[in-house]
Amino acid sequence: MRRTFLYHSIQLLLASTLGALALPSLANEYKEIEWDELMPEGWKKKVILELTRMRRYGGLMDGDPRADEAYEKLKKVWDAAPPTKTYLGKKIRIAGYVVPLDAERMQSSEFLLVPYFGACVHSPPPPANQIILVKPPKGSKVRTMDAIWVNGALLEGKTNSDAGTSTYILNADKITPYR
Amino acid sequence: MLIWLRIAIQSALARRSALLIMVLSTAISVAILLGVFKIRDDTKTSFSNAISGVDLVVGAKGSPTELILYSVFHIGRASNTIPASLEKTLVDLRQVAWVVPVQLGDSYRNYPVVGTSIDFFKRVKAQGRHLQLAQGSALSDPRLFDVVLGHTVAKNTQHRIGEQIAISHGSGTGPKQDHSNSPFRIIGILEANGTPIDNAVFISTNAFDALHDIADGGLQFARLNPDSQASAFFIGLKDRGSVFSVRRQIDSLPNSLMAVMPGVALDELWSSMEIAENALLLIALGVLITTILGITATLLVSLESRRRELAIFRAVGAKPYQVLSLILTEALMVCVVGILLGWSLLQLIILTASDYLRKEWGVVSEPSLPSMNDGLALLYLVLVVLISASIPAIKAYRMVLSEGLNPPS
Repeated sequence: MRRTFLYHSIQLLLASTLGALALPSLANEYKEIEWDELMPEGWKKKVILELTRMRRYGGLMDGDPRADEAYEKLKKVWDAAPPTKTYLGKKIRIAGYVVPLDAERMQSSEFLLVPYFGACVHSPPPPANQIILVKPPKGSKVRTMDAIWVNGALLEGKTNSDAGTSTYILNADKITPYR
Repeated sequence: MLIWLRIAIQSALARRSALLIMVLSTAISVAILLGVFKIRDDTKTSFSNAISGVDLVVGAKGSPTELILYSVFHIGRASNTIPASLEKTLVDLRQVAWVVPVQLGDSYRNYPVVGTSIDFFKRVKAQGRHLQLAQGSALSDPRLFDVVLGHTVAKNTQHRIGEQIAISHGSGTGPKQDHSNSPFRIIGILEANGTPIDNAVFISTNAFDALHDIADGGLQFARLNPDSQASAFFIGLKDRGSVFSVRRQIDSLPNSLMAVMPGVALDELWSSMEIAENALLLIALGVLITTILGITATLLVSLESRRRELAIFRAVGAKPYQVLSLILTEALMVCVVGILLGWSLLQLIILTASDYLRKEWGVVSEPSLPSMNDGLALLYLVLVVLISASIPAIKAYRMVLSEGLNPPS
């Protein structure tokens, strides 16, 4: 009886020590984020306001110059969408769709990650801060519009001073199919 | 054991006409099955070794897949050309880092001639690396009629640096070598990189235009063409993430252009090819099943004609299981000989068709030993044949001695 009690307490002790060891490493793990979190709060509010203002164009026909003008304006805002600093340099985990860049099917070709299906064919494309350039680890293979989870460190992409556009770069450690 | 193998072989030889047809049908179905596997593997590898580093391919509005196949893989024909002067417009677009013109349509001894700028060699990558020159160095300052050859072209034509060659207008195959009208001089040969670049001949855009003038008016001097046309432009971006935005800008230019993302277009091609691939596989499987049924049927029928033979074996002391193994050995022999023959047949076909496949389809296919996948499929084939041959074998096993000696009246 005594022996079993001792046995159990040792087990418990061991388990708690392991737990304590595991916890901090878990906190260091990849933080799962949503695409919305990649938009700066201020910019998001501005765009929503802009879109609401554009509602009065809702009755316009396709090809109407005013509609075209509004569309042009929206495109400019989209392309210049700034990144948020919140997650830069942090390890994140995000789900999205693959848009390949190269014709070559090497196992580690860069590709783009976008939030919605069909972003590569439909117009308008997602705003600049909703596109991530993924640098995959060796040996990963993806195809157009695969749904995947990417774990990795988020970095700020190349910023172009005259256009002001910049996208995120994600140095991926792990790519898994989305389920 | 060995004596049984000899008996099996002798017995088979005595009935060779029927067995020969069995072997042939096995060979053909094996060739079809392995051929389908081979086509599938070779197209995949041929198309995955494409150029890289190009973010957008710009051409006349039309089919994106066609544009990629033509401009990147040199397969098919261009639907329309676009004015070469558009290069300036494209370079001026925000986010565009570089633009390389690609002119196609002429050929040298069946190898596609690509008219382009020096930037092609600086910007375009193959297998993640910049293009490397195996010989020659003059790429930094090419003159009008300088030529750079792809690795395969240089290997197959045996041309050397400094040699003068005649490049014909159009895709003619004429073997005539008229040096008076062929100012082209080879200045460089590229290293092999497994991409369509290996099979191409590179000249400058100005030379490409001049070529057309020579052909049109018999001019001896090159003249710069003000309304020069290009088949496509390769574009690289400062920030690859801005590809959607640049594509939209190009699509909305007034020249009715189309900007295609190479990776996306190729994946579209893949998914449409998957259907054909599966259909081919299904047909191969059907042929295989027919063959297996054929072997079983022939063995069953042959039992009738071998009634006496088997009975004599029994009469001289053969055990029933030995009769059984005799039938199975025959099936195995037919299968193995058929496989060997079918594989050789396929290698022969590939050997004769490889040139055509490379030129017309851009698929590099060379004779090779069976892959792991092939071996597994053939192993299954042997197993299934043995299982289905056990039906006639068991029937022979059960045949009573007296029944065999006294044919039914």
